Amino acid sequence: MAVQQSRAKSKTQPVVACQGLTKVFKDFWMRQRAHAVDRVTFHIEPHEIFGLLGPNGSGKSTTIKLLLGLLKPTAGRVSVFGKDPTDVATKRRIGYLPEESYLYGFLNARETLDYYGKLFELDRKTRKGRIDELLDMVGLTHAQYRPVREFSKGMQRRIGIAQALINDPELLILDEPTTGLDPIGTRQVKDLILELGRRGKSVLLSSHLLADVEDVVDRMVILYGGKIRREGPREELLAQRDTTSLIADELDDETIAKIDALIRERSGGEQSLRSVSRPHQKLEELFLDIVEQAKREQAATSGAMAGGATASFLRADDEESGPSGDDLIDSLVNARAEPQADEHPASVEGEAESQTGEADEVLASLLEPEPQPEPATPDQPAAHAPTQSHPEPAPTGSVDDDVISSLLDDAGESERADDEPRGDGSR
Amino acid sequence: MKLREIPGALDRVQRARWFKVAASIMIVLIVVGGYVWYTVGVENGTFAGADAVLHRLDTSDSINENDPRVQMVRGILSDASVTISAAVAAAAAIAVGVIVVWLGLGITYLVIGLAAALIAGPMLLLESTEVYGKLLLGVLLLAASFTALMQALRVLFSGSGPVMGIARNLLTEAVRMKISLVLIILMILGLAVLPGMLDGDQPLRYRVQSFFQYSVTGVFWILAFLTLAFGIASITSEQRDKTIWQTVTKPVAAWKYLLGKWLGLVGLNAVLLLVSSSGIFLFAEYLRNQPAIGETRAYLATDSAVSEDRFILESRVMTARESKFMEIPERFSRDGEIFQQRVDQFIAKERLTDPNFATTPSDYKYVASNLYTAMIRAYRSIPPGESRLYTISGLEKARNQSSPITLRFRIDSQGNRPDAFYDMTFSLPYSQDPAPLVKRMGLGFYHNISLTPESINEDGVLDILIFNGKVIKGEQGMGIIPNPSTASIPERGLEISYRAGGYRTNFMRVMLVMWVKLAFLAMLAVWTSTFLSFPVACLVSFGVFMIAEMSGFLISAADLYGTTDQKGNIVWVKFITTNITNLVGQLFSVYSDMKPVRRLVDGRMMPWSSVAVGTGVLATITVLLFGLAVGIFRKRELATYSGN
Repeated sequence: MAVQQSRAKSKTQPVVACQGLTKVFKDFWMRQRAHAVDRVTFHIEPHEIFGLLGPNGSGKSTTIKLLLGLLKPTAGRVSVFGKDPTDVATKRRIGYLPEESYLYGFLNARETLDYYGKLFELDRKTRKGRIDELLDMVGLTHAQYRPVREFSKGMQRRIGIAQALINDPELLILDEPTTGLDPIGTRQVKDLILELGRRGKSVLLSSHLLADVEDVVDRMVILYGGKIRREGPREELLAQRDTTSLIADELDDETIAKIDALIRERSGGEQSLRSVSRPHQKLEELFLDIVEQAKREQAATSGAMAGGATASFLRADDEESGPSGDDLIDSLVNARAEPQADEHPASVEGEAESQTGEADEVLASLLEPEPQPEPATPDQPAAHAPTQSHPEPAPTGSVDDDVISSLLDDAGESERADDEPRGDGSR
Repeated sequence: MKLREIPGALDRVQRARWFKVAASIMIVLIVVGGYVWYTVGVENGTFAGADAVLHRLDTSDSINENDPRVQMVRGILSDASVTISAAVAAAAAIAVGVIVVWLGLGITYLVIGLAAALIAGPMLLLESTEVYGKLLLGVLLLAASFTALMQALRVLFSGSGPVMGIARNLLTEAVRMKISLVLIILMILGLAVLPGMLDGDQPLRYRVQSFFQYSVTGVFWILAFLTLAFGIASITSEQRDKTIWQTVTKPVAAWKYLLGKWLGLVGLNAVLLLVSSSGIFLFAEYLRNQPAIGETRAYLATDSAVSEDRFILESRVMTARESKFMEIPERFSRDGEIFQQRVDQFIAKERLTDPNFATTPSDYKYVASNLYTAMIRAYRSIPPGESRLYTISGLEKARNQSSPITLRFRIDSQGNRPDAFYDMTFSLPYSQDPAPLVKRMGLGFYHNISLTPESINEDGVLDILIFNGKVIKGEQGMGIIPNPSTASIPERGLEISYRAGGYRTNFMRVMLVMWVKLAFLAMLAVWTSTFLSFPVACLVSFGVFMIAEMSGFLISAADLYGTTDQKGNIVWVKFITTNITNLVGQLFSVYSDMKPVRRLVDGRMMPWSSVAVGTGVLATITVLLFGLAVGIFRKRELATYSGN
């Protein structure tokens, strides 16, 4: 948390600064054909995960190419680490994953990373060590001697991610990083981005797959037709201020009716329950369950294996977040239903019931008064503060905490009175 | 493991340190063991030779060691000791073996050796398959050389910077991509097949010249094509396929990227040229040691000290000759007073009938030019039954050597009819032997006469008196049977050539010049690739290459084409065409004047001065092209290709 707070409040120079950035493509006769980017202004602070969102053709990739010097702006200014994008020395600090993996088909995975490592003038020993770690991290150790042209699209994306990290960059630019990846790979990429963000890297993430971006970014801009339509921190943009959602154990119709009546009574008839449903297990969770099962049965695969731990050279020491703060964050994260970056990325809690039960415990612990709350130090976030990097229930809005407490108490009494056995875990 | 993964797995094994150490130890043990076995065999008489005799001397009780004859024999035998030669050979074998193993080619060479022993070996033993066995052996040897040199080059380019990384990546691409591999295999196969295509009934000198002509020309053109096509493809395909994005977004300056590509091409050419030139050189030496026409064995003539075929081969083909040509005397100088007087006299005479003749400066210049051309033509022409004295100077070097010199000449007449033969008589009036030499010859061809260096006077000047007819000695003195028509000597049609250096060093200089030319072509490919698509870059590059190769012909053609009509009026189309052609031809004249293949085939010297001048000019153009390429590349928007 301290890391994330310091990100927002950093007074250092922006990593990326665009002012009125414009790119107009012209044809052979110098006629203007397309305004790909139109007066785009934004900046990326150090240690920030920044999202560049928009539909296809909105100018995301063009903006990235302008940042990297692959295109020259028609108007406006752009700087990366305070320098022009074409400055060669600046590129030492950047890692780039393009929207497609443009690799040398005649090289194998190891040779590919070795080649890019040489471009960064890494010595032989360092290159070898990093290559071994990166191949393990992206799950391509078993295919390291296969020519890249024989890789599937997902495997090519993985090696593309690896080459973007070979130089341990300060700024990582990812253009559609999850394209072609299966849900496991997508999860791994998201966890990797989060981890890199925690470790102080700046990340520019461009995607039109909103679910992939939503979980990880701190701030974002949304483009359409080359223009910025909306920008700001993720919570600010995504918060629905007029709605509250509650998650509870299975409730019968009578209890639900009572809750609705209570809400109407408290709001003078102006508010009510809008909908009640039994959430389904997410398809991603089901998918991961099946894959985990297959792994336990040791079913064969020639595709990418599940990746290993994040490469050690990427886990540089971060002075702002001491070990205890991270442990706490990790423990909170582990307490939730999402798989962790430090552990096997495909691990899933399993039964939805246990996820629900644990979530309830956390929620309850958050709401019950603490006899002696731990003092918050600059290096340690408060014990009950949830991490921003994982999806969580939307914050409460107009309905106050007393209502929630009373509802929960009523629900608990009702259950104890009925003494109904839990079902099969489905909600 | 799949079958196609086996070569890769074996490659990783042979590059592993444990394999290199183990293989090195095995090589040392085998070679040392073999040497010990041979040495023991020599000592115990199993193998004959000087060592066996020495051993008997050492072990015999009846030999008087104080006898001077015994001491002399012992000294001779010691010098001829094969044990020492075997030791040197063993050391060389160990060195080569260990180098091959540590280059990571141990298993590769083992496979090649097994192929040679198990497949080519039996084929060599059978008469019906001997030719194919030799062909296969040649291919395997060239392939082994290519593999080793490529690996050595990859080791050389194994540094960690972007220039070395890009150069090495290009080498990998060359071997793994079909376009280049096909050309490399074509070259190796072509070289291996060529010796078998020579006509064994031809004189040896023609076989050697034919072999040089086809092999060196073929190698150069294949490498030129490979350099241009592969060099352009390597860069333009990266732009088209966007692979270059992941290179230029790394800390790689434009000049480093282009330099790396160029270095890779130059390195690849060096390897291929080394491999092919080694094959050409070794086979030429093999041919040299075959019997020539008039010999029973190499260098053993049947009815004279040296056969004519052998003599011409050694003195005019496998040598390095310099030439001096017939000079136009000072009195014929265009700027000389005598010539100016003659022009004025001619104009004055013409004005008697036409007062307006040549009154303007341009007309005067035109008349003077025509008169000069006519005068020189007359000087080079010998009427029937008459003679003309010609001078060749600057022959001091030729005078001081012991090997014979060659008079090379050509006579044109009567339209050079193929059925016409002339008797021409040559005399060296100021030499020790001025007796006339009659030569019957066809018209329009070059002919050679061998002379002694003593024909040249102390000032390095050789005077030659040429008669247009057959000089005969009659009872009343010398007479001449004239030829039917005037005989003309074309420009460069009378020359003296003499040995100025060795064939082997000349061969090396020729290869060096070829490599320099290929380096220029490599930069041409790099430059055009920075701003043109693949097909257009190929068109431009191959066009420039053809112009450069043919620039000598272009200049001659432009001269003949001229700028005026028959009446001397300037025709503007001709004027523009001729001047542009001349300009382009002059631009590449240094390139085409080097003529490395022609020099090698004709046994002419490629002096270091020519190599230096040619290298300097081409290097300057190469650097200019590099600067242009860097400037263009830095301005390019690499996210667009062909405007898209």
